[in-house]
Amino acid sequence: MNKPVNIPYSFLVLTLAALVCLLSLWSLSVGRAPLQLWDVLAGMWSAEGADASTNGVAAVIVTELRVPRVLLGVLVGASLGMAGAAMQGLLRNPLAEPGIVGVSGCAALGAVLVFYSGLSTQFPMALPVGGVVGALAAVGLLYLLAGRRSTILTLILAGVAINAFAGALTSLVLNLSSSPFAFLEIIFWQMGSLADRTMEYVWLCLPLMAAGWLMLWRSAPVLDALSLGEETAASLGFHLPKYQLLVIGGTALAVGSGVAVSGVVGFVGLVVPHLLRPLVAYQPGRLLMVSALGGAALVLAADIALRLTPTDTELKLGVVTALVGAPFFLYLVHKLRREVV
Amino acid sequence: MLKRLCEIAVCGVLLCVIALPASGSESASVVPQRVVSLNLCTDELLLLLADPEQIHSMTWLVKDPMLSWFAAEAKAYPANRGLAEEILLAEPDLVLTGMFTAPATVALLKQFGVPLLQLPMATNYATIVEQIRTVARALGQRERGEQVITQMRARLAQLPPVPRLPNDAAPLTAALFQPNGLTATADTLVHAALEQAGLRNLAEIRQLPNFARLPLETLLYDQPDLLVLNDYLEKKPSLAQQVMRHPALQRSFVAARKVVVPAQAWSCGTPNYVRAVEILRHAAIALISRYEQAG
Repeated sequence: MNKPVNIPYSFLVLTLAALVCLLSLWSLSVGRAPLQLWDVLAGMWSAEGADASTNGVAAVIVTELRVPRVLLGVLVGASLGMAGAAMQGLLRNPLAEPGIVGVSGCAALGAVLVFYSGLSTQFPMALPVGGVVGALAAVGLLYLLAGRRSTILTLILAGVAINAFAGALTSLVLNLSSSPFAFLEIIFWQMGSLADRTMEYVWLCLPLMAAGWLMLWRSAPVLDALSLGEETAASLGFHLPKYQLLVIGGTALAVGSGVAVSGVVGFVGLVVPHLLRPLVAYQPGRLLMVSALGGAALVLAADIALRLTPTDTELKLGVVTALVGAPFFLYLVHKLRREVV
Repeated sequence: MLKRLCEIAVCGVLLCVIALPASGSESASVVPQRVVSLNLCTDELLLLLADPEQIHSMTWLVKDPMLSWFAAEAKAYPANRGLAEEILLAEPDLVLTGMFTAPATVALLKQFGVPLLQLPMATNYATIVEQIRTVARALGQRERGEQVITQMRARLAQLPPVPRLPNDAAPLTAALFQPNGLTATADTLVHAALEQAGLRNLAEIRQLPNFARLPLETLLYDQPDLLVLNDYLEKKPSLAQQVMRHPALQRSFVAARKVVVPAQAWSCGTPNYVRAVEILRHAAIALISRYEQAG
């Protein structure tokens, strides 16, 4: 175990929030259209009278393309970071992460079913709801299979199985879809992207996501107590089943609605809580907020990096987070193996 | 499907220098009586040029009105699924295929000595004329071929000229924007039709490589005068289609700057291509007069 680092909690939160703001501004100024940050800000102010003039073009590009992208990056990143921290706290398992244990994969399956059946064309809200239902099924299943006193191995094995099954069903649904484009779109659902999303998606996922965050936030005290063991937590007066449902429900809402609009973005919920844990003196409750901010920062940074990479077709967001996250995951596995054996 | 057609088109471009078999001209005296076609584009040329008695079968694709304007005529003929077995059983005296139609099937047919005519993908007006001539000759329908070509020439000649832009300005620019942001680059019928209509293709100005996507941001930033759309499969949900409904796209291009060209017009090198040129030319003229009114 690393030594806890002495940083005041409020200072840490403010620093991370400032980082998110800076990355948001940077992200607004990155894109195919060569706009300077100044043009971008001017464009945002003059967005009201947008017409075909140069200023109007900048305004449309900024407000209709880049602002939704930044907002979704923040929302999805925060959800993944927070959900990762909460799952690790609840399962007391350092490898619990929405992507690795199949929650994101099932959310994608739910969203894919709703989207390609045409249901979300008629009722747009069905899209995030589909994602949440998928995620809920996965977290529930995971908890049944590997919930209480599970070893790291059981959890990961259950996650691998859920993930593989969800992936296969997603690919089946896309194969059976009537649209000739559908099959190629599995790349979006499995690798995630924020390209060309609209403000509509922000409004669609925000209410469910906010409810999820609130539920996870409410579970902070019990996560702290749980770090002392289930018996201790119960003896401290926490009604555990209620709080377990709170974390499960909150994770499903936050991750499910996020995946429905951005596809699966992996490893964020793994890397961020691990990096920040020593900074909050290993307190799972405090880790929630800083992981949300850290997740937002990581997704924004990844989304900037992929747009700065000079490829003809944009890289997928999940590719960039996996490039960072997968080696980190392997490092963790290696480290845990040493500790366990 | 459209994307696949485009892919085939571009592949065709890359290798289309392969000469057509000369057998057509030698055997002009022998008029084939059981012709099988294995490719949507050769289906269309067959329907256009052959006598009904000459046609044995064609692909199921051409019977789909979403893919071809020849669908109504094609209904009368049996469909094949392009499998070597059924073609060998049919004992055709001529098989028409694209240059890249199922290579394994084509190789097998060659092995069995079935007379083949392979057409590369048409990439411009000149290749359309050349292909109509080639197929007509192979079918023993030289005259009908010349008739079709003359009619095409006449329609193009009747097109109103593109008016000069007032202050020397460069020609109007246009960009094809399809689901997934796919556009069309040089050596495609789309590019050829844009040029022939008096428009400059944004994908060429931007020097996009083949198969490139035109990022939505680039499209909005470059503001081509005319946004060219295909009306294709608009009902079926896919992420690819979503970009077409992006509010940024709707806000940046007023109706007068959008033109819809049916995909069937330029998916194959047939006289329907002229229809695409007509639509684009009229759209260009309307836009120029709009600019003149606005000053």
